[in-house]
Amino acid sequence: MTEIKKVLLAPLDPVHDIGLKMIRRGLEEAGHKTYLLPPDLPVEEIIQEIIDKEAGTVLISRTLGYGVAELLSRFVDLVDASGLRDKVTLGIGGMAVRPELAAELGFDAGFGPGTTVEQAVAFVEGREISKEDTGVKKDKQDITSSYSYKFINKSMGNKLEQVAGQIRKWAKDKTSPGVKRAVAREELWDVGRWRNRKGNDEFDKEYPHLCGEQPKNYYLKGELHPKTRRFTREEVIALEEFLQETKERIMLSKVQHVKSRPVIFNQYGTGCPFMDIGHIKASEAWGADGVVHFDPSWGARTEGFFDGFLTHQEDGTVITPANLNRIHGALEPSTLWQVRAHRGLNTPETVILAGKLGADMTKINMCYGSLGAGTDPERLTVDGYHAIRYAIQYGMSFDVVTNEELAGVPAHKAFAGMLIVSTLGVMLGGKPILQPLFAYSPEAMVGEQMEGNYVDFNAAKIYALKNIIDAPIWPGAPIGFLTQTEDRVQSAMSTGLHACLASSLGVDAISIASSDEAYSGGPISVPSKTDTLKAVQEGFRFFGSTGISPSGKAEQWGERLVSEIDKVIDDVLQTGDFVQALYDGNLGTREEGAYPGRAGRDTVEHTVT
Amino acid sequence: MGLLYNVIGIAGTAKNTGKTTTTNYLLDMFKKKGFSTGLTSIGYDGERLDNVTGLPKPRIPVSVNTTVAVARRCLPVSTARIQVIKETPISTPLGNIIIGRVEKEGLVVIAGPNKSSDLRIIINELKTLDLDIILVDGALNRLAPMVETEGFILATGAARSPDITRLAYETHSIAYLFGLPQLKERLSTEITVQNGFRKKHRMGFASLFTNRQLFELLEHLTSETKRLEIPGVVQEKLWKQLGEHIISNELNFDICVADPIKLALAGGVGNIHRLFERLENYGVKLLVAQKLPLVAVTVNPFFPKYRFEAQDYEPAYVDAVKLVETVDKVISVPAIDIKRNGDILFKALFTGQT
Repeated sequence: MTEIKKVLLAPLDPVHDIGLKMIRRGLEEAGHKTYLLPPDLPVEEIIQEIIDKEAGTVLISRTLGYGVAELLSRFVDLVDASGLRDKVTLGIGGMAVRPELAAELGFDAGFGPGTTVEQAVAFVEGREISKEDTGVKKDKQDITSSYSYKFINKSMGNKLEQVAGQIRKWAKDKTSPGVKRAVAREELWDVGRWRNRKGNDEFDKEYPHLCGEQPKNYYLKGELHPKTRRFTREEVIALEEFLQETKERIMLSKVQHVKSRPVIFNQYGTGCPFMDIGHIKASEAWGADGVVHFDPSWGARTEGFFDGFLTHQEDGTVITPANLNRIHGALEPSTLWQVRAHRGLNTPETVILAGKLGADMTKINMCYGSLGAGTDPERLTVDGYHAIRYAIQYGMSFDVVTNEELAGVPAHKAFAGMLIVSTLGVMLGGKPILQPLFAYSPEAMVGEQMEGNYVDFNAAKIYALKNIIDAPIWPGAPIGFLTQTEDRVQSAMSTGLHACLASSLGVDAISIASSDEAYSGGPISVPSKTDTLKAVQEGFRFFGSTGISPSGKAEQWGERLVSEIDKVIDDVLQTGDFVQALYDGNLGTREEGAYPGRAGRDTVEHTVT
Repeated sequence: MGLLYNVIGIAGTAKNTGKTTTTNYLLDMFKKKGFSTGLTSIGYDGERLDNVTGLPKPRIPVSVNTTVAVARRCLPVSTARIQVIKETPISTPLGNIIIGRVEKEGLVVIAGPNKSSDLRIIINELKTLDLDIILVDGALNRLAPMVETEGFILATGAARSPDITRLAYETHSIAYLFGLPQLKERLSTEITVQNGFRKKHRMGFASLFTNRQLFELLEHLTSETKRLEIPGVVQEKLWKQLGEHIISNELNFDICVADPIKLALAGGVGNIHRLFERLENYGVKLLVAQKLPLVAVTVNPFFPKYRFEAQDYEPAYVDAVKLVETVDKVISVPAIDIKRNGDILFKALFTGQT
């Protein structure tokens, strides 16, 4: 039993004394004697109370505002000048209170938002409160670990394995410029040597010749991509200072309330890695569990990577070793980091770079990449196959997106493609994550499945997938796509509700947009990032462990989706060749908005053995 | 030419009155003189943006001839390389205080002891290191721990009040309180009334914070009273009632307080000053047991202007020349705009007056 303490609780705020009342309960439960003063007493009267009650600790609560710092420090001075300072410990709590401010005001400790009653009791009892104790503790989560990847729908599983087997057999002895660069990056590029600026001679000699025109000119003539520039020395120093200060004072928070899932992902990719790092730190502080790197669309059509710490004047942050390395260095240890590789000519090399520079996850889908993102199906199938192998080698799980739905491809076709790629992933020993869209998709607009509500059709997708395979599900990306408007409140609300539906359906992760993402007309803003994180957090707080009940239609549509997916897989099997199936429209036709891409066409070669 | 004080405090009347600028000026001048300097703070200083207003602040550059006493967590956020030479058991919200030598110059964030007794321990630690001068950087309007210094510089300015006349009067009042004559005796630890020779009544409390305490005290004040000793703090309104009581009952005795800081903390220094002058006119003598010399006053024209509509602060300035001249006229120590004539401050440290 610790010594019984006499604690004076003084709300200097006219209204906000609820925190002190909660602390009082904790202190009394721990056997201490407490005295809660009426709010807003003059500081002299508080000092007299310290004397009268012989208090050993004083906890003041006060929201910071105009002239308040001076008032609080005068209080501390008066305690000191009255000869009481050695007899009492002083704590201050309230909005905007941080340890630095407590030190400046002369208090012994400062408690900001998120302080627990336990921490306050520890302070009163004179136990050590470390910085870690004052924030939320977070660990990196592996959302794939509890899944068996066994098919629940055995007959469909059987067919999917046949298709995946065909891809594997077909791709095994093929290569491409993308795969060759990946091999060079894998075998000749030592990240330790690169970090220490020692150079990788053999790689430096070989790599430029495996690249397209622009990256080649960069390595041979020092020409940067016209939309990029290097950071200046001053900017780098400013970034390092910003990061050091932010890391020193950041306090993490949690979006989840009673359930540990879904894990929350935020995307970044303003074009400027400095701004990205600012966004990432804000996301982390407001509770995001993971962040996703967005690169520019030209990056997907360019053979090869640049290097250097580069900023880009348009959307999307250029993938270079230096950019990824800086961003990785900015992350909190608990933050999951995903670098997307899914859609372009650098798919396998992206996976290797991400892996060597510490990424946890990547994103690969040949169907979306070739039908919705402009890469030739044959090329991306070869590259995707190798990318999956590298992801496995670097221990990265990967999600399989279905964003071709946004172009108009019906969900069942996008899902069939996702399941084929996922099955290939499992077959090779990987950990794919299913990524259905939670969106007001063109299919639903035309078919009116979302006329009455946004719940049933999204729920149907999850029911369908859960009836097919035991695998992690991560709706994206971002959830609520095409439901958000330029009104930030509407946008954040919609994201929040979709997140609650996702939580209610028991999915493993979600990606959420910022509230201005669809209509920013420029880089998204930090306040709009916190909008949606807060909206989701509030939604989780509201629903807790209860949930949303979809109507009977969800089950019905779910069953229909399964049979439609099954038919698509039959069609692919009938075609007998996955790449041909992509060209032929089995997984989405031109009328549905799926156009087989042309980038990297005719670049696939047989490996010479 | 020797230094008049070895431990100098830099206190302010408010945030943003120029404490850091004054500290930086002194650090730079001592560096140029080749002095070894000790540096600590009673608050938190050297950060990039103000903890309250969010406005940019001057940073604190330190050179190799400097020894700092700062909280552990100041080290990673400082760019100066600091070699820890001693750990102390004194704790702060940012970890225990360490004594460290600057090995490579750079910026430093300083958070130090937050109470008088801890500051005394730290000053004594620094004194063992044979430094030429020890500087104690202040915090906000905090004064109490400055009692441990040998003399202090007061930083005031538009951040305290953008009304120059009012500011000058307040500074005049502070200078008056710190200029009160010294009684060279130790005070009792409780408020004590001395009625005639050897007849002492001890009140059982050191400070006056309630009417009840005041009434108890008044009962013991008679025409026989020779001296009233007050070791603690008296609230401003109680000073006023005490003064009225003395005047209306035509009492006449010495009032001795522990140190001028306890007077400055009572409330409005202007009101205390006016009351004391009235009492002196009636023949009451006011004394302090411990003097704390006011070395100089630095005045800063900058102030953070609160924007009520935006609920934030923007930088603003008053007329710098008029500010210095007005304040200088009403105090006996020099008033200095550190950015224009800091050399006067430096001279004051060596010769006391200019």
